[in-house]
Amino acid sequence: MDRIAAGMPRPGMGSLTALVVLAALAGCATAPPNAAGSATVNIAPGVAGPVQGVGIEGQDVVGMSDQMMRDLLATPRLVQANGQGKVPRVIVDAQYFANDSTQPINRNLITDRLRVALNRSAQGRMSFVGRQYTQAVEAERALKRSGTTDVGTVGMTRATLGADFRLGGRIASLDQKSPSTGLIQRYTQITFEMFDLESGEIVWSGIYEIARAAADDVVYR
Amino acid sequence: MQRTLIGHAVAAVLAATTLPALANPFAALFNSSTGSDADTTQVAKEADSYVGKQAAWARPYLGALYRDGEWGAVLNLNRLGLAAMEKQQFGLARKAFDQAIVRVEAIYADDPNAAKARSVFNGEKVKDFKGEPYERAMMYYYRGLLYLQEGDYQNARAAFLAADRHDTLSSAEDKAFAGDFGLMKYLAGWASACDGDSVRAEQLVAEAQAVDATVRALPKVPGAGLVLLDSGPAPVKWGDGQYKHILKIKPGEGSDPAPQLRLADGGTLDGLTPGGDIGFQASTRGGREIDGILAGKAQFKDTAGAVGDGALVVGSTLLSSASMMGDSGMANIGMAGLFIGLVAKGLEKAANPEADLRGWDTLPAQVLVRVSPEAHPGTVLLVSGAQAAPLPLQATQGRCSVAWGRTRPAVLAALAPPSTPVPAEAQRGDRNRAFRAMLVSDMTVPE
Repeated sequence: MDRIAAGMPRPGMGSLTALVVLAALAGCATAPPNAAGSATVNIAPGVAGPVQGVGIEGQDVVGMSDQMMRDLLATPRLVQANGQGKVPRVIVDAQYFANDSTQPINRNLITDRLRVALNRSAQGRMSFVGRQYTQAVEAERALKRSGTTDVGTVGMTRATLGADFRLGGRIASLDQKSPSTGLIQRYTQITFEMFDLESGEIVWSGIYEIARAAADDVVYR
Repeated sequence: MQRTLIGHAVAAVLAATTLPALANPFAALFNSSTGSDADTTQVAKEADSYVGKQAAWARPYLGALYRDGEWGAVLNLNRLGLAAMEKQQFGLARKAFDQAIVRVEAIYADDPNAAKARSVFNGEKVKDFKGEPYERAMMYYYRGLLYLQEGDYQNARAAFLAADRHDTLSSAEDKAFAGDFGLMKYLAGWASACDGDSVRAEQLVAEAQAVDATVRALPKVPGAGLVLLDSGPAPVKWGDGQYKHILKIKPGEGSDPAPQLRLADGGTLDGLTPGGDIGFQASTRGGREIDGILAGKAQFKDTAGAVGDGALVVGSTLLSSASMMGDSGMANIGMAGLFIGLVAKGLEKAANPEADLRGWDTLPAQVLVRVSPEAHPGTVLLVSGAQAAPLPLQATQGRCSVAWGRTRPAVLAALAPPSTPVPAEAQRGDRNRAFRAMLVSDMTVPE
């Protein structure tokens, strides 16, 4: 007797239905909002690498140092010779460049690149004092003056160079998150200032800002 | 017709007897989390060659790093970093924690292994390890200590604030307990004071003491001397539920006697107080978003099992009846039932809702703190019975001095192996090759 023709249910149909339900359940098990996460969003210009977070990245170091270099070179007080034809002497290092953010970073990465870029582009309009090399300079001067070595080829000076201006600045950050989507956002602000080493006057200021938002995959939240 | 029925009966017997064996390869169709045996063997050979050139104490750590690759990199780097601090290999410790931080801070979006961890047919642990909030916070805590040792107080502050951030920002953290790891902000305040920024120091200490009663016993104005002592066993992760799909964290077993400190010249150093409770931080992490996914997987596994059992019973009953009644139509339906049952049981077998139970097993249960107005006048010793040994990390930079040690060793003779095959190579080929090349060039510990 044909069971379908007789209106009798096929026992196997229930299992088939259950299998379909199973497949649907499998889909339902992976559907929280933004489950796959969101790729990093770059707001500041620059070229992003394959590994990204929401903090300061390599492209930011390049971008901010280039921007500050251009701005500094466009500031007459820092690049014009005085009445005696002497160009301003500057110190560009990390001594007064503070990290007040939540991201540990080697501050020398920023200040070294800025100094090198400035030095190469200034074409003699600024003079750079390497205060970080003071110990080496003093040691060599002592050797020359004690007669241990000769005086070199450029002669001796009464003292090492005093500087007119020095770089200062601060890195600061603000973190936020969205519990519903797992998005985290960080605003990072990097300020640069050049101050007069005689009067304390701030003669130039620059600022570089980064805002990034991203979400990890849901398995990491 | 009789021959067909005999064929059905034989098929039914075969299906019933071979079901478990068939379910395994069926499950393997869905589970693609492990690399090939050839890959694993080759990596094991390379790992043996690599660790053979290293100091004995470091071999378990470096071997695990090499074998596990990126899958377990953060966990193994953290273990190595802490052990290296105890062995006073501070350069190695810095490298290890820096590498771990890069991975923790990288955004894992559209990561294939994370996607696998979400799928029904893979356990959560196929993902790369990044750790729970308390583990990430402790990673930054140790990196912060290493910055203090160098006198880089600004980056130390950043590291401690990052530790606090991970306790605050993770959506996994229970809201009532988010940002309550006051020790980290207190240490950020201490670093600020040592950096000469008393305003920031005061602000951070006030914030720390406002959110965490544990650090209220510490001075409001941080002094120049700081001793940190890790004490007790690490929190333990365990899987609750029928399929171990609910991550739970409990305090480690045992405790350490109250430690005693003294100076090398005989002076006493009392006043160690609890500053950070790692077990509390771990156990208040709250529910995770992945828990919902894992619960869904567990439900799927249950349903698949029930459907499979039902279909097999119906199928075999129909086949028996069909063979007695000589009804080939019923026999066909019975076979279909058996097939569906087989498929459903295979799905049940393949479904894997198990939570990722990997954990940083060398962490302490708590951090004891002593803050003194003056820098330490000499070497700080940890007294254990009749013996006293110098704390492994001691440094004076500027007007501040810091000392750090542990009441139990972070250097283990062997590491607990992963409980199931390691999914190290799956979809991590290029990353693992780069990672291992970095290990060979940068992570070396000569005898």
